[in-house]
Amino acid sequence: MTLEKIFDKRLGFILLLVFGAILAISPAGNVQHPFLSADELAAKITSKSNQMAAEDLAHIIIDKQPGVTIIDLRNKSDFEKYHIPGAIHIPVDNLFKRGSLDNIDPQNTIIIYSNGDAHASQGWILLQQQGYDSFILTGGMNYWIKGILNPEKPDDLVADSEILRYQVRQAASKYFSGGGMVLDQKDQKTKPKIRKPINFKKKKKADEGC
Amino acid sequence: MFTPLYKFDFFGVEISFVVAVIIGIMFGFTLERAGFGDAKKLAHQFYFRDMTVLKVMFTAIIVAMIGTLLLNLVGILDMSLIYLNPTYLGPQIAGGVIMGIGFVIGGYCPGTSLVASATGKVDGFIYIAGALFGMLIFGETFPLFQDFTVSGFMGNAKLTDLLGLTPGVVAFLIILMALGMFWGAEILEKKFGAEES
Amino acid sequence: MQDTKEKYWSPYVAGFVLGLVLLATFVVMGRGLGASGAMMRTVTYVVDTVSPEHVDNNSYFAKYAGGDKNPLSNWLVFEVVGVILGGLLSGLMAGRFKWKTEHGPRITPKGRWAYAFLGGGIMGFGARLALGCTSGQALSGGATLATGSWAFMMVMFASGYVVAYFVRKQWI
Repeated sequence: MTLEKIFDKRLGFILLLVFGAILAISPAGNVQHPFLSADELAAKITSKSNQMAAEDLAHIIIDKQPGVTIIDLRNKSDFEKYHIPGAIHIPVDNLFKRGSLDNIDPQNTIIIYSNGDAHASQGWILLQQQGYDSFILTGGMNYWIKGILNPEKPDDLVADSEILRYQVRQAASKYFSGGGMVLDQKDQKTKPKIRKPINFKKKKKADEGC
Repeated sequence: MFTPLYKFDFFGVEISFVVAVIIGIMFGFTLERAGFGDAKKLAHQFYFRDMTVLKVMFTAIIVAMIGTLLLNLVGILDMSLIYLNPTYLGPQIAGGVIMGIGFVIGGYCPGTSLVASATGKVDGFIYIAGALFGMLIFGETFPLFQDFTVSGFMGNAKLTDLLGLTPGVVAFLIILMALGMFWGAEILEKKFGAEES
Repeated sequence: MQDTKEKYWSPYVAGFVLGLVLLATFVVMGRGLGASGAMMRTVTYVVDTVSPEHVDNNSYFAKYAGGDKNPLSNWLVFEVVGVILGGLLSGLMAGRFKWKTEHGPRITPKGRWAYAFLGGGIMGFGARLALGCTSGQALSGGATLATGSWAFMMVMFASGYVVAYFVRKQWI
């Protein structure tokens, strides 16, 4: 072994220790992106990238995807009458209260809903301010009841994609209401299938490990 | 903070595929230069004759780890946007046991078998055929153990949460561990190292 | 082709360069490296070509190729194409490209093939169960301090060392 080689290894050894020590006393890794500015918030709302379609949420529930938190923002009596399976209840006013979000993992995919879109949008901003990224259920409970629990067959002359969506809704409806839907013959042939959605992990684009 | 570039929409999906090929070429080139296209070199790891795998892997891990942390420290890299492998302890531990067995028997891992095949190793091609077959079997039998594949779910768990330490301290501990392993590896190689074949 | 083979890089140099490649991947793409995911997609592509219904009915395959999805339109698939090109490039430049079978002194090439297929099969199955292979879990997950990836890495090496004794005839 030449002298140079020993020196190289020692240098590497010392460099690593120095870097390690610097990191150990620094806040490295915890330096966060500052909160979204008003413009960025507005852009997100306008682009609807913070929304999740009811069909997609149905998938998530049916597939029992882990790491998902669904929050019902409506009032108590509405929540007790019906809520999306697995949802937890935090009325929108309570979002201001300290500690109301303590049990929620910010790493989870968080989906919030209200009756329509208005309260959910308020809730979304409140959550953003507290560092929670979330999705709004498009159309809220109103659409969930109309689209998922009681889907209506689209007209004959609509695009294929619309029919596919209908089949998904219909299959989801059976799941959530425990069957009882009357299918006409044509539908039985096409056998609605539930397809797994792509990844819903936060704002990350479709991703996977290895 | 403006990186990861892709997550900040510096470029779209099409460009990302071009990036993928370029990064892949660098990845494959490095694996070949490290000697990972040679099953014997890889397998000798498990007989303490050639600790290249351990040295290369841990050097790469600590270099990338230090790099991400330093870039975060100076405000360039938003670490929360880097894909983090979610933790499913059940399948990951079971899969680890199975893969350890497969590694010693097959002599490659999926990435290195590609490099081996690219340099003309016949056993590399056969290994890939086997791996594809194994994955087909996995897909076909998936419904049988679907529940197990999500067992032990801990979300995006990191060692920092587990140990209750800052990322910097965890990194320091990992560096110390790696240096200890390098030191041990050198001793083992001196003791068990095979003569060049 | 050259006659004299170039030597491999020192493991620490190779590791350093590999670390920089991984770091570049994090900074540019916000994700890690991988290999087995692309293999799974290839399998799914073949199954999808043979029988699309079968893919749609199997929740695992459907994740990759349900409906109109093309399983090969994915970052990892392109990355793996690059890996093959990069390996070939390095092999050619170093004069290491050669058709041969790596095997220990106590086993025939045919025996080695059987082991390679068996080991590949086990590894392929395990890699899908563990949600990634050595590159995706151990390397990328290790550098991002993912708990499960570290557990995976430790268990995989431990398991390898235990089993190594029983297949030593293949290698030494």
